[in-house]
Amino acid sequence: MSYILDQEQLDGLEEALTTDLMTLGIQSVILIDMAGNVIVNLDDGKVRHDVYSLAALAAGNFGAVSAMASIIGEEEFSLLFHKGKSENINFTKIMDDFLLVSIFGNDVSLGYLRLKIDEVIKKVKVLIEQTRST
Amino acid sequence: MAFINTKTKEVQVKLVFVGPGRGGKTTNLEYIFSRIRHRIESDMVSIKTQGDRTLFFDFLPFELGAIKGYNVKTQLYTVPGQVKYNATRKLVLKGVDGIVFVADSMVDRRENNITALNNLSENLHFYDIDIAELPLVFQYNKRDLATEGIPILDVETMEKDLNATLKAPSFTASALKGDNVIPTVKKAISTTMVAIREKLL
Amino acid sequence: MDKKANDTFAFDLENRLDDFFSDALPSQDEPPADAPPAPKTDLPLKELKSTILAIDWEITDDILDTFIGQLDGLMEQFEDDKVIHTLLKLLKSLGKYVRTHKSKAHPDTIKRIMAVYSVLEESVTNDDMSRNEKEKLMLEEVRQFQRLKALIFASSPPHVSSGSQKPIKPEEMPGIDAVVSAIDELKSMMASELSAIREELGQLLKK
Repeated sequence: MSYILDQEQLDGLEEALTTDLMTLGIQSVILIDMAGNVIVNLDDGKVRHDVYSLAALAAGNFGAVSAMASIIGEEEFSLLFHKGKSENINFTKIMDDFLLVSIFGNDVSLGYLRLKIDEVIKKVKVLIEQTRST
Repeated sequence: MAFINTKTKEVQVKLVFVGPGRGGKTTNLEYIFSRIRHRIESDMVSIKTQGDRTLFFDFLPFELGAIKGYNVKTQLYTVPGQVKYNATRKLVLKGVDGIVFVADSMVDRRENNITALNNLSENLHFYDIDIAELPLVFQYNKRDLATEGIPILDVETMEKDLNATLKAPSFTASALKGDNVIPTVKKAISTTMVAIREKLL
Repeated sequence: MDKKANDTFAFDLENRLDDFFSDALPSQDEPPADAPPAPKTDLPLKELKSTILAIDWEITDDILDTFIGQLDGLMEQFEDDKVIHTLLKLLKSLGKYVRTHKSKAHPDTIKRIMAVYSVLEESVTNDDMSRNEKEKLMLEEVRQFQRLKALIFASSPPHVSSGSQKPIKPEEMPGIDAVVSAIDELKSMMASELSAIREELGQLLKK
């Protein structure tokens, strides 16, 4: 399955992710595909990390964890979250082809962030499915 | 880094198949797996994209059994070859004991082979490893394309491009057909094991 | 390293590799191990604590319903302790607010829940703490709660219900709405009393 996203869709994705997630005061939100390609990259302006390596590693990490899930007889894990001292990362799968990577500090509750992510995923799915190609 | 348990007399080595994207690294492992699966317990693990490009690594562990009182275990890995996955490639190379460099014999992949070898050298340097000191075997893959009329580089050119200074053992091969895949990995394992024994025991 | 020993090792290794990569020989099976059962522990605040921890990670209707149910139980248990009872009421109010509004809830709500729980736990478990200290902490939490309430009402427009204006009792309304409506009732009561006093005053002055 391959997707072609036009500027309108990309703008829509950026808006949805900004309005629903970035306004919570989180550090950054990256929408990637499962091959590690960056589709949307948003941050709070203070971030200077190598987002392309981060994306490739995130996709690889997700792939590795999915393989682990299979080994232990699980279809997938519903929570993929790494806790740091001051920054944390959460991964959420969107459909079968995309991954939402959120980087946030300790002032945002993970549970609440996941609620917001569930909401924004609905919008993201609608936008991505607007034009589809096989 | 080889894992050696002198108490239980166990030696575990990590061999990584490296090379340009779509060169045949995964195909090598798949062929090896098909040949030994009836005698090993574990499955081969592949973390790849939907388009069958390696995303993180392929992994194939197996035990060779006791040799001179040492239980020898081998772990074969492949790395993603695409340039954009360098961060991931570097990760997989951590603790490497031996390398199989799978070069693509296609004429238009000549530059990619050289770039991949330079990249390997850089990544090893990151771990304070000198490529000249590491057990390494070259495989000039896709030789079968010649029979299909697709232009391939001659071995002399590939040797000059890649093996002029290292002077490592090399094999021509066709991973797809299984030609010389086993001899390549056998040479890599034996070179690596002997080097480790020499260094540490 | 003894070169001869390494040579014979290499020789044996080569032979083993030849054997290994030749065809034949089946693999062995191993029986799977059984996982031991997990132990159980329960204490009144421990159950609430595990729900609180769960909320930190994931917010679902089930978890919130469990949370509210546990709070009801604890409120009965700690009926006579004003401090603890108030803290439990705050938690219930916040819990119900999140249950109703979910992702539309104010971002600071969960932080408040964690903070109130922390004070609650301290009050219940710390015997060295004086009554005064506990009250002080409780009052601070009430203040923070009011502050959050003010933020919520500042950022959202007031609810106007369409259709029939059936009077709803404050007890039936969820969480913060109940507190607000109680305050509004108080205000309107005070306003009507004030106008009654003015009238009386006016009449007195006429006389």
